[in-house]
Amino acid sequence: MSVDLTTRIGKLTMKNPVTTASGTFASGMQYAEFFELDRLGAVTTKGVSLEPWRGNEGVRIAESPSGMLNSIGLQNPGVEAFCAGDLAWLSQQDVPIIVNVSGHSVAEFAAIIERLEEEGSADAYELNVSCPNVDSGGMTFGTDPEAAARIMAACRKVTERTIIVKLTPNVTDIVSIARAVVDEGADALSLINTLLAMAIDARTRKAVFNRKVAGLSGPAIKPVALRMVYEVHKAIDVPLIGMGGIVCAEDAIEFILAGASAVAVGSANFIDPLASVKVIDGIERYLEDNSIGSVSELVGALE
Amino acid sequence: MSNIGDSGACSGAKANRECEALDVLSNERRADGIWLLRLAAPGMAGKVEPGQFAHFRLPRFGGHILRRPFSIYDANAEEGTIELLYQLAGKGTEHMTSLVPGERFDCIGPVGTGWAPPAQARNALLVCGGVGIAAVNMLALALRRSGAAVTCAFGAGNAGKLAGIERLESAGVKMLIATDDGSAGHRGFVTDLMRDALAGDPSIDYIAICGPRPMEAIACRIALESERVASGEVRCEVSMENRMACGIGACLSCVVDTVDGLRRSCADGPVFDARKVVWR
Ligand SMILES: Cc1cc2nc3c(=O)[nH]c(=O)nc-3n(C[C@H](O)[C@H](O)[C@H](O)COP(=O)(O)OP(=O)(O)OC[C@H]3O[C@@H](n4cnc5c(N)ncnc54)[C@H](O)[C@@H]3O)c2cc1C
Ligand SMILES: Cc1cc2nc3c(=O)[nH]c(=O)nc-3n(C[C@H](O)[C@H](O)[C@H](O)COP(=O)(O)O)c2cc1C
Ligand code: FES
Repeated sequence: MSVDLTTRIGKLTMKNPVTTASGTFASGMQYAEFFELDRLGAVTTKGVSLEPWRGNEGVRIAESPSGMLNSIGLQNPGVEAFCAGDLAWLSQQDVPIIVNVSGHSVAEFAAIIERLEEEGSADAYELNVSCPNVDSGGMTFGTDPEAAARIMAACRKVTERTIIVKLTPNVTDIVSIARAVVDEGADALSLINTLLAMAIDARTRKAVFNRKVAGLSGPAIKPVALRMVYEVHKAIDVPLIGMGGIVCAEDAIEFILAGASAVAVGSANFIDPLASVKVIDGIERYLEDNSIGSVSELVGALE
Repeated sequence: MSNIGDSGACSGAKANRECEALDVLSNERRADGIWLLRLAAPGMAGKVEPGQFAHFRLPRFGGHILRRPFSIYDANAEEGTIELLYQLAGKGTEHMTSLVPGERFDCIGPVGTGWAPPAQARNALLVCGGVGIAAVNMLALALRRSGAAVTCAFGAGNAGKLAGIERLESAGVKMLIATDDGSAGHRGFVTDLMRDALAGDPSIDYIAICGPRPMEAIACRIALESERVASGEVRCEVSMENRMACGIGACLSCVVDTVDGLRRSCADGPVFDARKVVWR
């Protein structure tokens, strides 16, 4: 039986519902050594800012039970170098591109997208209003519905392409933030970014990370992510890209049942560089085994 | 207990780079807190450059999602084997002592940019602390094969923690030993021996450094005090081992500060030109 994996996120059509979670896959160049990137529904790039960002000093990762903490701090070469380097390379690959965008201000978000629009090779933008690892901007936008809405409105003015807003789980009411950005024209939402967390070394009695706090990802956060996808899906009719701890197809199916139209594989890329492809194969097998013709039938099909 | 995310093969995999499943051949304690693991690695054994490493997914290590990076201590292309010399440093390395012959685990490698001694190097000085010897062993053997004289200044806490000396000595490497407590060789730092060796032998034409970070910082400073090193006439390299997630250059977990900006230890390194590293 042949099954239909086609997934639509706004104007973006993906041949299967699997993309990569921003920051865990760079722009795919390293992973292209392991598999053909055109297997993916889309590549989501590392966050790009207007100017180069140096990222955080000191230790940048730590392991935790069934998860990891990171404090990369959005190190990236800035939009100019990104266009000339990674984006130019990626646009030669036969795969849709979602560019993840990070700014310190409303104006910066819009300026980055304007610059990317000049290139014209991105298929969609993902606004990262949810990074816990930078001081100004980052997560503070994503915890305030009005700030998130202002960013969305400014970006909507400069592009007709699909805009996905990536939400932080570090809020009491995710639905109110989701609604605020959808009201300003967001085509889709990604959830979740990392959970605000901390690691302490009992031996040295010091915090592991210079910034003290860091972002928790991996299987440990999957139940939280599932709950948030479920809550937003119930409340708002907008395509969702679910992520947080997906390591296998079964995890991905759970997100889809909770209401995600697509999923992103993140930290699992570090466990196994082929993780995203294995998730795609597994989803296909699941549909075949259960005689489901199209993955879209499963979206929000929680019984 | 199986690992998180364990699943079989997938379609569309390319062979440019692979995750190789390695069989454990032997796993033995070699010194106080230091073990030697021999692995069957037919795909990889012939491709290893000195100073490269591999990124290992430990078997039966459920609940831990990060791979562990280890230098390839030695590789035998004919037998298709590699060896790791590992020091007990935490949960993963302690777990590794339980590995028995026949167990398999998954590894990405060889990865990284290794040592680049000048082709005409005739008299090399290697400086290593503790298990840092794992990163310089293949380099020392390769330099000896090319006919260069090799001196290895090697430091550890005490005599019981010195592992890996015999293999180097039998290849004709001159060993200079330092221990913190004086239980073997010089009582004091390996960098004392390095300073004396550099001062006493002006023909040294290549320096390689690997060990704990504070030792590396001091060793690089000593090397760069020499005008010939600072000018680049004598190449000095250092292996910068940082915490890693992806191990293939994608996640920016492992960056090293250099005069050219931040560089990835896993892909641009782990070996860097000592003149380029910015210490803080
Ligand atoms: C390129 C490279 C080559 C290395 N070669 C060797 C070698 O040949 N022999 C050897 O004994 N050790 C080597 N190390 C260090 C080795 O990777 C760590 O000792 C090991 O990962 C510790 O794991 P653990 O689970 O025992 O410690 P834990 O503290 O439980 O580990 C927690 C996390 O921190 C990381 N981590 C902890 N200490 C280090 C460290 N010193 N360096 C990097 N990551 C660390 C672990 O990988 C893991 O992700 C190398 C490191 C790198 C980066
Ligand atoms: C090392 C690392 C870097 C990340 N960088 C970014 C980033 O640049 N932009 C972003 O929106 N999210 C970033 N994230 C968050 C992931 O995209 C994802 O939302 C999160 O890790 C949860 O998914 P996972 O559990 O599958 O990793 C990063 C995560 C990790 C682990
Ligand atoms: S470990 Fe990911 S870039 Fe080096």
